[in-house]
Order: sequence, then C-alpha cells, then structure tokens
Amino acid sequence: MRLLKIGLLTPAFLAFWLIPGRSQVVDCMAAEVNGKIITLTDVRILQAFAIEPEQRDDRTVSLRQALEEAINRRVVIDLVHEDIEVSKAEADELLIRWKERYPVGEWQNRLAVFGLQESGLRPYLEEMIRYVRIIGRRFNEGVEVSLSEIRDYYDEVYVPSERARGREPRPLTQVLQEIEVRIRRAKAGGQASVWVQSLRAQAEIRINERCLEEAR
Amino acid sequence: MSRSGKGSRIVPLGRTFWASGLCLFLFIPGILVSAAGPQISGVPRVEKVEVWVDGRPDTEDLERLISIRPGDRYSLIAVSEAIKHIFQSGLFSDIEVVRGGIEAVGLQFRLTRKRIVRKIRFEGEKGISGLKLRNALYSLQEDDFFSEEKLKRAIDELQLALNDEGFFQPAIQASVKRLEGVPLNDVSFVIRAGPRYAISDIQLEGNDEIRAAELREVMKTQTGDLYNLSRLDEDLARLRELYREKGYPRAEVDLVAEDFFPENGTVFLRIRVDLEERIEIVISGADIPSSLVRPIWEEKIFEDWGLSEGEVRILGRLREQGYVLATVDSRIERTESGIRVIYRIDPGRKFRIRKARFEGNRHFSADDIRKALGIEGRAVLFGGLDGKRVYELPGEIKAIYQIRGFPDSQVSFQFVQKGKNLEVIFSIKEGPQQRIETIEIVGAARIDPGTIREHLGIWEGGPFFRPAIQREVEKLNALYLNEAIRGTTIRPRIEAAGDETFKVVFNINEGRTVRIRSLLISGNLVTRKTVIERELKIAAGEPARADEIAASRRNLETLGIFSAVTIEEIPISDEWEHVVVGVREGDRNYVGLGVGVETKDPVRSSSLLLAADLRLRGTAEYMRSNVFGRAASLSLVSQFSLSEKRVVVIWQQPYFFFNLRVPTSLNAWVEEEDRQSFTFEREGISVTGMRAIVRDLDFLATVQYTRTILKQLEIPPNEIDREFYPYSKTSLAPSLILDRRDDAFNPERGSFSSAALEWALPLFQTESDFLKALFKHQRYLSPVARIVLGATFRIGLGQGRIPIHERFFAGGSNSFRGAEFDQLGPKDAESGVPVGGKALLLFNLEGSFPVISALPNLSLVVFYDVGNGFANRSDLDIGRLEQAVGAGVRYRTPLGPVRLELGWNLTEPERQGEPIVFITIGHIF
Repeated sequence: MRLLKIGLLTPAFLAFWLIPGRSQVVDCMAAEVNGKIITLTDVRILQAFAIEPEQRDDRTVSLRQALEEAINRRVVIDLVHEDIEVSKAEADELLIRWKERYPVGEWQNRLAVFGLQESGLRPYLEEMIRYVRIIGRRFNEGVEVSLSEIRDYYDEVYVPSERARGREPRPLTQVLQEIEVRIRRAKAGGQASVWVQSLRAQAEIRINERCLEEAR
Repeated sequence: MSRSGKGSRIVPLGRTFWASGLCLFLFIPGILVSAAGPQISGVPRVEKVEVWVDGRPDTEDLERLISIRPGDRYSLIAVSEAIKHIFQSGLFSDIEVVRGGIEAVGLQFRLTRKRIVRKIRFEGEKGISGLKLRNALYSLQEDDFFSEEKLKRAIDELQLALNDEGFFQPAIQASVKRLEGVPLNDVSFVIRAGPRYAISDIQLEGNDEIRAAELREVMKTQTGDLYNLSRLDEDLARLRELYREKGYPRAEVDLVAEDFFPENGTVFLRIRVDLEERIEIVISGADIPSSLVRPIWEEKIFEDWGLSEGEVRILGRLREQGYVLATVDSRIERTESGIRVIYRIDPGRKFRIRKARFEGNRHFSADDIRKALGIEGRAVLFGGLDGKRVYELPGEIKAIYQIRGFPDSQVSFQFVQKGKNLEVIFSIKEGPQQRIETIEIVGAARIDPGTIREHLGIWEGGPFFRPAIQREVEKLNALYLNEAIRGTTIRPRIEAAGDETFKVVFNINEGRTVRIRSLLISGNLVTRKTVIERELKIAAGEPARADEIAASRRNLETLGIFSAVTIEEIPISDEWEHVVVGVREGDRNYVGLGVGVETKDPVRSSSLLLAADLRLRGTAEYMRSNVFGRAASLSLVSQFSLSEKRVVVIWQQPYFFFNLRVPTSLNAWVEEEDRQSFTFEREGISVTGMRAIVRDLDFLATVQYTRTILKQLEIPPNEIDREFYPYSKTSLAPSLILDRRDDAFNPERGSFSSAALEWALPLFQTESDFLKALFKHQRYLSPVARIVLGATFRIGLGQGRIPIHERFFAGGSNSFRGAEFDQLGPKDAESGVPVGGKALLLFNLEGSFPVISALPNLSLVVFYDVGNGFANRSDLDIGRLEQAVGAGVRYRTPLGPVRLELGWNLTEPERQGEPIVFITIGHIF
C-alpha cells in the first residue's frame, strides 16, 4: 500500500521538476526613478554582489533594501548634476577588492547566474563610486568631531565592545584617531541620509510592488 | 531483520529506504529548479520570443523592439537590457518577462501600454466651477499620459483649489474608466466640497501705525463673510502694499491662526503684522517717483549696494527723458523708527542727442558700427538717440570689437553741445586684433576634414574670439549627429602661434555610425500608418541622421492632426538603434461662430452711424479633421449678411493625388452677393494646389469652374452680352507669393509680394475668354519702436471679354479710402453706377504710432491713398489718379487690427471736405 502511494506521488514530484516548463516571472520593472527603470535583475545583482557603499561582508541585504539603496543612488546622481568621471583603473581596482571577498569559484558562479561577464558589473560599480564621491564631497569633509564625543564613544561603545570580545581595551590615546574616523563616518552617514531623503522627495519615484511580490 | 514485541508487524526496511530515497532524489532538485530566483543551469538557449500587450498577443510587430532573438543564449542580464530598451520607447508603463522551459527557453514579454487621459469630468457638489477645478489641475491633463501617481497628485491639487475657495474638508473620489480596445482612460472626480465657514472675527495684531478701521477698509474679507483663502491672500497683499506706501516696505503681514468651530460653522482669523524698520525715501531735484527705487529696499540688502542701485535707476530714468548730464548723490540717515534714504538730483539741462560720431575706428566704418548697434537713421529722423542707451553703447561697441578679435578695445564717449542739441563722440582704442593663423582638424576620418572646415564659422586669417570656439564645437557635434555618428567627442585646443595669432586645433574622437534596426509607429488610433510613414525621412536599415529625424518630427507636426509627436531613439548596441515614432491624435471637431453688425448704407458721419439701419451678420463654421485617417479635413463654412450669403464646402489634404507632395484644397460653393451695380448668384468648384518653392516663396495653382447669374442690374443691358444668362467660366490661375513679413496679421517689418494670373478659357462649353493679372507689393518698416510705416502698390491688367463681375473694382476700406466700396473707377454714363474696368492702379502709404503708453495695442494712423480703375488698359494714365488722405485709430488684435478711419477725397470736387467713415477688421493691405 505504501509503495502504491509512493508510486502515485512520484509523478507529481516529476511534474514539479519538469514543468518549468512551469512559467515563472524572471524579470520585471522593479522601480522607475526620474524616467529610468531599475529592473529586478539589477536589484538581484546588487544583492548578490553586495554592491553597497559600506563593504560589510556579514551584511545580508533583503531585496527591498537593495532596491531602496539603488533608488537612493539613482536619485543622488540624477539630481546632483555633477560630471564625475570614473576611470577604468578605479573601477577595476574596486572590482578586484569585491572579488577577493568570495572564495574561488563562487565569484564565477555568481556571474554565471546572471549571464554576466566581469565587465558587465562596471555600470553598477561606476554608479556606486559616483554616489560615494558625491556623498563624500558633501558630508565627510565638513564634519567636526569634538574631544568629548570621542571620549564618550570610548567609554560607552569601544571599551564595552572590546571587553565583550574578551579583549583588553587599548588606551584612548592609541585609538583616538580610529574612533574619530568612526564617529565622523557615522555623523556624515546620518547627515547624508537626511539629505538623500530630501532629494527623494523631489524625485519622481514609482516602486512596482507587484514585481517585488513576484520575486518573493 | 529486527524483532519487535508480541503482535507487531515486521516492515522490510530496505524497500522503504529506497522508495524514500527516490522521492527525495526527485523532489529536492525540483524545488531548486522551480524556485523563482536565479538559477544555475547549463547553457539554455532562447527558442521562442512572444510579445503580449495589455493581455493580448501583439499585433504591431513589437518584437522588433526586443534585442533577444531565437537562438540567442539565454541570460538574465540580456533580459534586463531588453526590458530597458522597451521602456525607452516611452510607450509602456509596465514590462515583465515570463520564462518557460529550461534548456529551450520560451520568453513571453508582457507589456502594459501607457494609457492616455481622454476626458476628465467633475461631478457631485463641486462648490466651485468646473473651469476653476480644471485650471487647478497640472499633474493630470486630457491627452496626457495617465499614471496612479499623477492621479494622487491631481487629487491633492483639487484639494488645494477647494481649500483656497474656503472648502476645507472636501471629499474627493477619483474613478478611472478604461476604454476597451484602446489605451485611453476617462477620469471622473466625484467631489463633495463640504461646508464653508463664516468668519466670526478678524484680529489684527502687531500694528501700531495704521488705524484698524483703515486696514479693514482695504481688506475685501470682512467679518461675516464666507472664508475664502485666495481672497484673504489678496487682502494680505493689499495690506503689505498699504504698509509699503506708509514707509514700511519690509512689513510682513501673515495669517498666523485660523481657529475653526465646526459646531457653529465659523472661523476666527488672526493676522500678525511685523512692521520692521520704517524706510523713508526722499528724492529731490527732479520729478522721479519713489516707486522707482522703493522695490530695492523691500528686501534686506547691503545699504551701499541699495544706494548705488537706486542711483543707477534714477540716472537711467533721467537720461531717457533727455537729462543726459544729470548727477545723483545719495546717503542714508538713521531715524528713530528706521532709516531715511535720500537721493539728491541735479538734472542739468535737457538735451536731444542728434548725432553719434566715432573716432579711432580704423578697422570698421562708422556705418558698420551704427548698423551693428541698430542706431542707423534713428537719430536724425526720429527725435534723437535715447540718452539711457547712449551710456550703454560703449559696452555694446566693446562687445562688437571683442567678437571681431579685439580683446583689448576700450571705448569712451563725450558730449559736444551744439545749441539745444548734443552730439556724442565715441572714442575707440581698438588695440591689436587677434587672428587665427591655422585651424587643424585632428582625428576626423568618417567625415572629410574639408567638409568639417566648411561648416566652421571661423577661418584662417579671420578674427579670433575665444568664446566662439565652443560654439564651433557645438556646430561640429551637430554635424556628426547629422551624419548618424554617435558618441563623438570634440576637444578644442588653442595655442599661441605668434604675435596676436593663434592656432586652433579640434581634436576629434569619432564615434560610430548608428543605423536604424527597426522603425515603430505607435499611438495612431485613427491615422493610417501610411500617412505617418509618408512624412518620415528615415527608414529601417538607414543611418540615423539627426537632421532627418528632426525633419520627420516637423513634417508630422505640420500635418496639424497630432497634439504631440515624439521620436525616441533607443540604442541597442554601438551601431544599431530602434526608433519609435509616438503620436497623440488631437481633437477632430471644430466649431466656430461669429456674429457682427453691418449697415445697409455707407456711413458718412458718427451721427449717421447712430441712426443707421444695423443688421446682423453671421458666420458659422464646422471642421472635421483627419478624415478617414488620411490627415485630410472637411469644412463647412457659411456666411450670412445683408449683402452676401455664402456656403462653402472645403476638402483639404496634405498631398495631391498619387502621393504628390502638394497640399491641395477642393472647394465647392454657392454664393449670392449684392454689389453696387449688380447682384450675382454663383456656384463653383475649384481645386487649388500649393507648393513651397524655396523659403518664403510659395506657388499656388487653381483650376476653377463657375457659373454666374447676374440679377438686379443697375446698368443698361447693352453693357454685357446677355442679361440673366448664366455666365460660365473655366479658369486656370497660377500665382506666386513671397512673404517675408514678421507677422501675417500684424506686420511691422518685412515685405509681401504676390503675382497672380487668371486665364479664363472657353472650355467645357463656357463663355469665358479673358486674361487677368494682378501684382501686389507691400513693405513694412519700424524705424523706432512702435512706429510702423507701411506702403503697398497694386496693379491689375486684363484683356479679352471680361464680364462685369470679373472686372477690377476699387474703393472702400481695403483699397481706396477716398471713395465708398466699388465707387472708384469707370461708371455707367447714364446711371452713374460703377461698372469696373480692365485696369487698376493703387498706391497706399500709411504710418501708425502709439497714443497711450498704457494701451500699447491702440495706435493712431495717418494715410495717403492714390489710385484709380480704368475701363481699358490703354486708358491707364497716372494723371488721372485720385488722391485721398485720412486718419483713424486702430486696436491690434491677434487676427489683425480693428480700424476706425476717416478718409477725405482730395480729387473729386463734390467729395472734398466730406469724410467717409470706415470700420473694418484687418489691414488694408
């Protein structure tokens, strides 16, 4: 009896295996920003290659988050009207750094999934480099960090996190510069975020929720 | 085998294990393959590409837009690129791609066409007029693309419009009706405007300077009125103006609180006034209104800058009035409540600047400089040069020199008094001229360097002007685009080549020639595709030349049947692109109605005008455009009045038969007209073709058949061959028109010439046998702003048997203003009524000038008319020309001037001293 059941169920599994056969939406318009579109494939590439300003290997980005970041980049580059040239050397250098994050073979596998050559990633890298430069020009240079902010960060964040990791915190004088960079980056990031949101309010953005639903 | 307890069954483990393993083996890969994410597979190939539009299979061959072909290797990035190409066409609001198959992939592109708003309706208790609601809409318009975002913005706009009118809680619901089979939507807004609020009180705070009663008098909004935001905004603006006049130009007057009381339907308003400092402006020494400088002080500015700016404005005004030697001193005094700005003027004497001379100009003659400045002739004829402009001329002269290669030129001027007039002498230090020694073109291969040089506006040995080089780069960019080469970059380099000479190098990095892979036409719901294709200068497979693309767009716009024409280029590779021609068809039905009055008898004085027997005169017109989708139009025009009745049917098409590019008009008409000496009934049919020969020069040819019956003849029957007998005519009438006027309805400059021939042939059993020619030339000149001089010359000659209704007649508001309509020329010896003639000579001269600066469209006119009609060509005699002078007023409208004129005949003894009144629309010419 049991074998009969298995025999009846197997064709169902075979059908499930063979039918895509079964149609599926492979790509669609995920968003329209100022008259240009971001496709679902664009978003998946950004997600798969973790193409984002902060190179955090441990961060997994959802489809929605990747889309929102892609929209931010598109809005900033469109509305800021700055002619920023990205040299081939710059883009290649960044490509090499991204590649080094992945084990051997996985990089090629990821490219193959999309049918990409390495050169096909260039537009995405260039867009990110332009975005980072625009943000950097506006927010990194003018940000001031006071001594009291550094001290507070040392006492409230650095020391507890080092101790949590079982390490002895280094003296303030040794980590002062590092902490200053972190605070400046965080502040700039906060200001940049507010600025980007204000630019988004001026842009014409349409997110195609149906496309994102298809992707889930 | 295992042993279990008493009563249990023993299951053979091996069979279960293998069955489960088989299921797992079949199931798990199925999940992996079926997941909607990217998949790692072999080398799948595209077997089939389908396109569906709005849920239906494509019927417009849109597959051409898709860059993926059967046989191509399947990849997600290729699909993504294809979606972007399709989107660039501008035709679709949504695109998704569905895949079927694993190794042999079938792709289905599902496109959703952008929809267009056909009609917008407003329903419900709107509260304000539909027109106001329609004017408030910017995001959503009829004949524009529809989107949900635009609909949301439209609702916000309507909400704001209703708020402005005092409806603060409107409920607006939008519904969209999609029309079947076409990408059109009708949008309805159902509005419940809601209640309005009565103003219970208006409190003004912060104001100590002006009595509250005076403030309330200025405001239109009063306690008890229904609250209207837009009216209150106007009131706040009036209050600000009032404070400005009282010396507080920076006063801020704002609504700071609106307290609504829905229970009793009232609202309380609080307006705060922040006076800021008082600014008193004192101008002494000349009659200059303080309003000239007050706007400078309305903002918070640097005081020194404000004083300088005020001096500049005052001096400019004085110089315009002729006080060219005026001086102004200014200062600021502090007062308790603010500041006092004092301008003290010494105007000096008033002068006319009659002459401008130039000294030191070696490279250009004085006439050249005057012509370049646009001041030739003005000083002598028309009251002198504008004093304000004289002070600006040195800068203009310097600019002229710089453009011609003199970067170090300096210009100063001085006045020389000659009695009551001044002469201005411009001293020019030209400095050395910079020249271009050589021009080098580097990197040009696809376009011959010789051709590139021909397109440049600079030349070797010519003047060097650095900003001009960038203009030349733009010209060369356009040249490359017109040769279908895209992606070209041109970098100019300027090198010193010697003493005041330069070498200009254009480094060209040429792009690639781009061809059109496919040409798609979209948006034509009624218009035939062949009609659109006929206007295109581009085709699939040909190079994508930018000038031909622009010409194609212009041709389509000229058809007059589209409200919008777009041509999108969609690059698909370095060498190929798709071109999508998008059209939006405009309204097809036009109705026009016109009503006027006319008098039966000519009016000789204003008292007679009041007593005149006025009758209605009307015109009705209906036009249907784009008939049969062929860009043709059918019009029905009817005119009715005391003296004429006319019905005309007109068929116009952009091409003659057999696709010959000659706009053609086929007319058929029935008319009856009452002239001075006869009445006629006529029916006729004609075909007219028009072709542009060169710019401004058109050729027209008309073939016409008419049948005319004469009635109510005031002349003896022997004047014509047969009375009451239908007179038929077949004629061929070619004409040439050269129109170089700046405006066809209200010309101020340029010229107009026409030469028309009518050859009436005795064909198709008609009696016609004559030849007529009419030549006309007009000229317009505006020597000084708003003064227009016009002259026209007309000569008409005829030979053969010309019946009375085909002869030349003259007299009236549009030919000779010293005689009534048709009354100039040969008359019947017995009855004295005009009989027309075979020769006509007319000359009209007139000048118009403005009267009141506040009414720029109103002008006075004086005229002098000379002319006569002659029974035969041999009778033409300059000594027998009649003369008339006159004056009148004109009011300019977009369709020409409305004229009221009085003419006095200087030749006819019995008419001398008695004017004839003419009221007309349109120019005499």
